[in-house]
Amino acid sequence: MDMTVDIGGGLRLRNPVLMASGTFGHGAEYQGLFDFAHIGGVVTKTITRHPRAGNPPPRTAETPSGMLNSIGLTNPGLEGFIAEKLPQLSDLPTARIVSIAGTSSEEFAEMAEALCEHGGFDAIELNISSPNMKDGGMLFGCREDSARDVTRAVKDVADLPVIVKLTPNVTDIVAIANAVEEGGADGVALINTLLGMAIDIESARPILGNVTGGLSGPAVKPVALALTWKVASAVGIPVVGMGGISNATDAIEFMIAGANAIQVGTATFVDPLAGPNTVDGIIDYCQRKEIVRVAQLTGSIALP
Amino acid sequence: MRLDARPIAQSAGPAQFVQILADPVGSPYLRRPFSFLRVDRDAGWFEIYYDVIGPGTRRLQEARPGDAFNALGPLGRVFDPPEGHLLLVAGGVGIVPLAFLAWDHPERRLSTTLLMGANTATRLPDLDALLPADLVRHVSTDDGTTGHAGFVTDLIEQHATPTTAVLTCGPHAMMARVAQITAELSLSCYASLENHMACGFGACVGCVVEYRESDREDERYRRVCLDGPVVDAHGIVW
Repeated sequence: MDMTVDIGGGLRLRNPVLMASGTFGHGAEYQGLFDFAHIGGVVTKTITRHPRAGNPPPRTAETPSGMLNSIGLTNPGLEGFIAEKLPQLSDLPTARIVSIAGTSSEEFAEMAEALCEHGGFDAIELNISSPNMKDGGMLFGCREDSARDVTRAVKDVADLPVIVKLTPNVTDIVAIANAVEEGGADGVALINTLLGMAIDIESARPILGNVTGGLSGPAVKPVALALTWKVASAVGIPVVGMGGISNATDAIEFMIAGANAIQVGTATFVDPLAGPNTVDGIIDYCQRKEIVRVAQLTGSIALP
Repeated sequence: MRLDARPIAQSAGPAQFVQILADPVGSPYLRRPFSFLRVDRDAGWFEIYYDVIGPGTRRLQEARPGDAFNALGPLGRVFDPPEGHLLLVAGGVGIVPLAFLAWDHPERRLSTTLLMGANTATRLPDLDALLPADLVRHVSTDDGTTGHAGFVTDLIEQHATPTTAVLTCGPHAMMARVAQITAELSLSCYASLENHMACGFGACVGCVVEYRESDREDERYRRVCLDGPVVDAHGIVW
């Protein structure tokens, strides 16, 4: 059985399961957990130009079938990442995707250029969709022009595939997806978290230290699936689907809806083996359905 | 509550914790962290002790002998007590990791004193059930219904020597006061922190605490699950 999938710019994954940004550190920390050759790849926690402390605690709040987070992109900065994290990431026997976020198109491009010059990884994911970064993040992903411009600025300097991660917190995600495709994106990834909030009624205070945060987990899956289907139906570049994927059933739904690959995120917090278990489940499904190439699943939805 | 889990019991050490999935179908969705109370490494079991405060602990309370739970652990760093006199200051279920330290270091019990505080006598756990019999303990209640009348922190000075090390676990306000008093007395002080956690193994970066000093901006907040749960009580922002 052929489990390989293409996710744009010539990047071929061993299988369609990636570990989502922000849920798996910088990859190498969890090497003892399972054989990384068993998954399609890892996406690092987002790197910014300068080190970031992140947001004040509390940073997480459980909500029905999911959780809110307002971590705020804690990271060692570009130089810290290259010096301390990239060497171990480079050694991982799987696709290595570095997530970056900037405060301007120029900063995004500067980071992408520095990372590509250094090498040791396979693709860049542009985080233009974090609801927890006041000076950037989602600001770029909410407008077609800024989403297009930042994509183009990175593509002009990057010699590795560029995947743009989209926010669901917009009126028309298809328009944003079309814009980043125009900007030269090799692929799109969606969805980042949904803007959310929780309040403690005894104190009348927001539960998160940052007041609002991003909602993830099974609660968002139907939303993510619908948006993945809409975007995959509209763009001509590969789509990486995510949002509440906890197992192979979830993953296969996203692929049938049009995703070329998927990411497992919040589920890893509950079950550190959610990623590799999802791979096993997809293999079982393909065998049972006598599917010889997993890529055949992509967009195979039988519409009424 | 006692759970048979040989690999966890065999490697668990003081201050470490276990993440338990209270409901296999995901309601509540996230695991819940619990400190170890006691382990039997030969028999392969560990015990936890908790207050029922939400749907997760309620689900555990409903468990019957023979029920199975998915448990992940041990997590966090083991706390090795420094030499000399050790003063344990506990509030509420904060007694649990301190009790485990006493159970796990029988050779230290003669040089260890436990101070336990509660609002009122009926809120005190059954200390004889939780603690080794030979661990010296002093109790305080805010309303004076048993033991010292007042805060447990009132007792620190009289039970400390100049070389005493203090380890505290309990409500945030109590631990903050312990940190303040020990700083005034120039005693070393460790706090076993509790926090809401998503993963418990460092990936989510949610359970952080702010440090007074850090070499770089991204180290200002550090993870309770990985860098703790025991931290230098004088090194963090209360």
